Amino acid sequence: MNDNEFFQELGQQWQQEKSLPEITVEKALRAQRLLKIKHYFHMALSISMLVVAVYFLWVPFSIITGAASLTLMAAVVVDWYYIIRFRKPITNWVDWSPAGLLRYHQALLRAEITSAKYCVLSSLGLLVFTAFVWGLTFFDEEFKATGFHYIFSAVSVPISLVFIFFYGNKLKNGALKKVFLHDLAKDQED
Amino acid sequence: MVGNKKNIEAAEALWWQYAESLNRMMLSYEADRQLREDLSQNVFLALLSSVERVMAADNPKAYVFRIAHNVATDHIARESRYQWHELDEAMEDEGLTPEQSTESEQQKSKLLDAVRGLNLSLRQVVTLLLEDFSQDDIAEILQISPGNVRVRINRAKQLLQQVLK
Repeated sequence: MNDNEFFQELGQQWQQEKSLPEITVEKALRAQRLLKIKHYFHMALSISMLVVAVYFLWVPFSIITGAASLTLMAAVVVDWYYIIRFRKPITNWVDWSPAGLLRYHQALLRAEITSAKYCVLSSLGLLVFTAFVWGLTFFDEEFKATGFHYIFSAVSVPISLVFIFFYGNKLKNGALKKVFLHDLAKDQED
Repeated sequence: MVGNKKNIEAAEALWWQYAESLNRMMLSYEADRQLREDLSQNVFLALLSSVERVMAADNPKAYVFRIAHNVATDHIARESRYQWHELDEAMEDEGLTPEQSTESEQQKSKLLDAVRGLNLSLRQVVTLLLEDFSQDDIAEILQISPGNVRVRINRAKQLLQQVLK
């Protein structure tokens, strides 16, 4: 038996050892546990938004409460779509093989990118809503701006702009990482 | 910067991809579970500090293994307690006795035991050869001549045949 045949045969036996370095899986499991906490917090927040949206329907109806309720309900629907479609598969992930870990991180990245997109769109939505409120004060003579509108605008506009900048950057980095992970996964398949 | 988020993510991605092969390599270098975790951490940190060079390399896998082998060699130099009879200890760590393990597990252990018994220069070549690296890649990773790789392979084969027969 020549050297190549000898080592090929041993190589097959050697590569049957499929375990991962202990720190790799432990680290992924730790990250998954943290993500689960975030997941439940997100669900609680979403339920709170639904409660507020319903509350706005109960209070004396106005164009503002109607628009707020509609916006919140749209946010709740998007939230639950995201939770079920993107987040749940990650929190329930069980395949910790090397290929599974790579797929896990791809799924995680997909969820992060979607979340960043959602945050950018939500921030834009909030800016539109603020503009709508101020538009009413200019175009509807019966509608008067109150202290609440000033405070709301002073908080929502800077926060929205910061979020758009922050999550916009995250989207750019996410796109780069997506290409990198895709190349690694392709390399692994080869 | 070495520790920026982008580098950490890139190093982690490389680590996940080669984790299985790197673990086999580390098993051949270190039998003690605790020390192997230290070795894993050190390999990861070394990977992190060189991640930009790894990503720019023509053969990233070979570069990763060069880093891992350098760290492992350094680890052996520091850990004089490295002995290949520690295999028994490693199996106890994982809650297995020789009787409990299956035949294929015993074969894998026997091979691992045999590889651990080789001296460092031979073990380096063998662990890479068993991971399907070509002789040219091995020469590049270990920074030795292809002729030297062939000599080591031949010597390792003779020793392994004796131990495994």
